[in-house]
Amino acid sequence: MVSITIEVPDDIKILLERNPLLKKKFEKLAVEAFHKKLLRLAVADEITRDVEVSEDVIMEFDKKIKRKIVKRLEKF
Amino acid sequence: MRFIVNTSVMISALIKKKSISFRAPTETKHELYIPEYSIEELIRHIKKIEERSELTSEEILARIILIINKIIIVSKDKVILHMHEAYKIIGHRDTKDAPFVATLLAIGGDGIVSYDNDFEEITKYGYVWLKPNNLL
Repeated sequence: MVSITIEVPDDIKILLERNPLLKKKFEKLAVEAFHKKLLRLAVADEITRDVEVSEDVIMEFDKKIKRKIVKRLEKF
Repeated sequence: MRFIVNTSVMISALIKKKSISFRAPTETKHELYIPEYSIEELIRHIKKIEERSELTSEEILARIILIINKIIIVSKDKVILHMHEAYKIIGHRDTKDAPFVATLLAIGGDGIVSYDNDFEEITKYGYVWLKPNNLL
């Protein structure tokens, strides 16, 4: 394990210093939050690599789908 | 802030591997909304999208799930109430964009995220038009 220092507001610092149990819980929560966020970013990095597809293809689908949405809303 | 996500962003997220359109909605701290029928229609077109996508079916499904988790669907009952006003705002550019503007009005949002230039119209009414990278 490596050690990381994080900044917290003064009132939280006082609370954490007063209560070692709370401090331990806070540290555990911080580690979990870091882990969750880093894992999500790593997954996103992995699935957002590679090459380009034409913008025309995207706009073509966009038009078709939006046309259907309007039709359905107008029928409603 | 609260933004409406246009279908062009969703489609781009499902077609391009290297896609800011996927990263932006899933990583932003802003609240995102979409009109009812958008997801449904997107899924109806999924086979065709798959044919043109750089992603596998599994990757597309995974992205849909991640995006849906971040987006709030606005019911048709709420959207329909603002369609008339929305046509006034954007109808002269493209009537197909009206449901997204109506959704913006329905939720009292701040703007629309889209690649479509037509949405610059909404800036005349004090709303923001932004591209996915501006969400991060």
